[in-house]
Amino acid sequence: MIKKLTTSLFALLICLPIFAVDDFGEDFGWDEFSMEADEKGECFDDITERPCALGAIAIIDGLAAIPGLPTALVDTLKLNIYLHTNTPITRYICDQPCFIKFNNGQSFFYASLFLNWMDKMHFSENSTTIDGYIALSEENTLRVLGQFGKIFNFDLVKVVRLFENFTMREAKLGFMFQGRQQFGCGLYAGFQVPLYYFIRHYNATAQEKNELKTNNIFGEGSGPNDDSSFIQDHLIGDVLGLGDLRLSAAYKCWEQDTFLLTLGTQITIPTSTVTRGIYGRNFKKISEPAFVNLENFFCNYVVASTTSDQNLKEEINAYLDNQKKEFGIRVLDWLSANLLVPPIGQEQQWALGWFIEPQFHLQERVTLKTRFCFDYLFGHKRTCFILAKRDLEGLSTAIFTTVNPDTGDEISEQEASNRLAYMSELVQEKFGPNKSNSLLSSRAKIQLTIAPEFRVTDNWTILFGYDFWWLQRENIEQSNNTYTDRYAIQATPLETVPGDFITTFEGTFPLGEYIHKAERSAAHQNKLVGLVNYKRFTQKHDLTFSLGGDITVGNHGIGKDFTLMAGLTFNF
Amino acid sequence: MNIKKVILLASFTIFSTYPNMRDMSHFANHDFMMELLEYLFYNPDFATRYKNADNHITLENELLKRLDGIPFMIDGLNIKESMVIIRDILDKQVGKLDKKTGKRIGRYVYNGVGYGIHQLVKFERDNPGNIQFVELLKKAKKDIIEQLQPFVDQVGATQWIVLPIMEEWVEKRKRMHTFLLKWADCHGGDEIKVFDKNIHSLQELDSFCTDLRIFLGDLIHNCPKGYAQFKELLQQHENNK
Repeated sequence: MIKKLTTSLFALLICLPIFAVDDFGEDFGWDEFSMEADEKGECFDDITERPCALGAIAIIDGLAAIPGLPTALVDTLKLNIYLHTNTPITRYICDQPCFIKFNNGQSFFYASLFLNWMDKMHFSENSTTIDGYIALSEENTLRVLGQFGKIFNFDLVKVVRLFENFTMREAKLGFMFQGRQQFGCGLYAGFQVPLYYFIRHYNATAQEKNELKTNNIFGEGSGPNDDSSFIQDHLIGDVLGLGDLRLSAAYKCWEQDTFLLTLGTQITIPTSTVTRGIYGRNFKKISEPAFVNLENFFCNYVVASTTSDQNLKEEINAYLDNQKKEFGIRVLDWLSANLLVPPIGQEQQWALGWFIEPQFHLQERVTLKTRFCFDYLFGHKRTCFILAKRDLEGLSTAIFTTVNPDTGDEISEQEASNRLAYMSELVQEKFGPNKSNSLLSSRAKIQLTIAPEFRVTDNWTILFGYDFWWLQRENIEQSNNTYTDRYAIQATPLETVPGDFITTFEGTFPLGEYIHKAERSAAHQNKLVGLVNYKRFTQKHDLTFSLGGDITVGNHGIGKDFTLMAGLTFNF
Repeated sequence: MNIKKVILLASFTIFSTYPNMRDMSHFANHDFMMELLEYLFYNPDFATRYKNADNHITLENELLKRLDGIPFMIDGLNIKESMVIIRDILDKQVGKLDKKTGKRIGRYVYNGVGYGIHQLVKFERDNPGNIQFVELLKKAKKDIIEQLQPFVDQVGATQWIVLPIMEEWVEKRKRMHTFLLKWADCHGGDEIKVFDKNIHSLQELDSFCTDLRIFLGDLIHNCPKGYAQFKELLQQHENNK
């Protein structure tokens, strides 16, 4: 009996692995490194710098020894790279004139398929190319980049020129739903909501694309022409969602044989629900501007410049090329985070409006339909990209001097490290304005539409008209400044540490900001609108098929666009 | 001790080493003995499943010792790149760990649920010939090739260093039939062809992934200086948060 019991227990012990089930079995090979990668892997991608053994003073001395580099660096740090940091203006799809449903006394439900296309968006008030947003074609920029190019034996100006005519395009494709219920007393209540896909991307001519490819700007095998995943990851932003709900109520306050006047009000509620990054990238997820640790970068650069080991030189240069490429792509992504995040709806803004609709029955078959609408867009909070405003008067090539000429004292290692950190911050600010939670002012929006409608037969009508749309300038009333002046230039050397003139203040001096660069200008569009309707009556149904569209003939501050739509109305 | 007890003990011993026996439902569905025999004789590496992956082997390669810790050779950043490969392989093998819920999210959808390659192996075994697994295998192979391309390029560029280390590893780990060696030896653009030729099932792909992870783990274990640099970088990153 004891033998049987021992055997059973022994067998049970062997069997334990059967019952002690782990997630993947013990043969899966969970070693310490797999476990570490599993647990801490999220932050691995943030580790990009290779440690370098040189001290900060040696790095600065090494940089100072390269002819022309200190001047070129200081000039670069003083450049105004961003001319503007505003987001582009787009017109909420519900405001397009081809979706206006004039009051005809009927209740209806309407659905349409639409496409809205804007080929050249405005980066800023007067520019449809990127050089109006980033100073790519400014004389000073080209001069400084030319200096840089000479030092690194690289035609940087040529590269920059390849980008200066880049444009931005946007398209909206989706469905518009509208409904209206008439009440006996001349009142009606209605709704309007779109469901659509909204895509924005940079655009270049075929010649520019070819030149980019020829110049291998984005490195081997990864560029706008070679790699579709590169385009999706860095050059396209998109969103799919339900737009803001617009509710309206109106009253037929004056009706005669030849005249009908409707007065109404409308409210736009920020109800939009969206999914970003369907085909392109969700740039909203990027939270930090591009950063390069110049202490590490220059350390490796100095080592590569001074080493006689050819293999090591090649390795370091490959590493630095990779660092530069990564920085460049992060700068591009940050730019895209501002420009390529298309808003579905009216940018989370409440709007309250009033409209007046006089309709004149001019002849038996001609009616002049007009509509004037005023919308008040309430002030709201939004994330804006705002540049830091630093006083760089004191910045000179003296930042590369490690010995005080007056006293002959060498600066401290901490001071040298602070100088490199200071330059790193400047580079970050130059190439990536901080995101700031800002309070935006309220503003007005006006739309005026005049469209004669011709009743060709009992079933066919044609409407052709003009539409004017104007949006007031947007002001930033308050910005949550996120810049802190950890490092600042001192005009005179500190007494405590002779020779040090840049030091840390631990964020006690908030910097100014270029608010106006982030504010959007006023914008207006003049459009022509056309619509063909075919009515079909049956015993059961009263349907209207519509085909129409609108096109911009004049604009300012916003690009030229057109809309095409095909709709079906159930009248009841 | 009579013969019955010997059989009983032997059976239990075999059961406990056979990985898929952990799912007891397996007994009801399959001809266990046939499958066990097939597994025993078909898979020559059966005897060395990674039960003790944490007992890393010592590699004697001189070059490896000399390059350990040298910037741009085997330094902290190189070790990080290896750790990234391990992380990404795990992502495909068992899914990404959601730290909030503690659950893993697999990349490959089977019957409406996301699984990792390792978890799918059991389903593949239970459903031989199911067309879904052909598609899943195709997708998983594509993902793995794409992910490992930088690694392949690196191995290609430093083949004279990596291949002897890999051969030593294969011998010491007794993974004579591993696909890893063949794959690392293929040249410019042949990886897909070699994959298609040699990887016919999710189980084979899973074994390859595990081999690669353990190989990299052993390599890191044998580069203590580089690993210390990596830990320092990790610490710096955590301090900067």
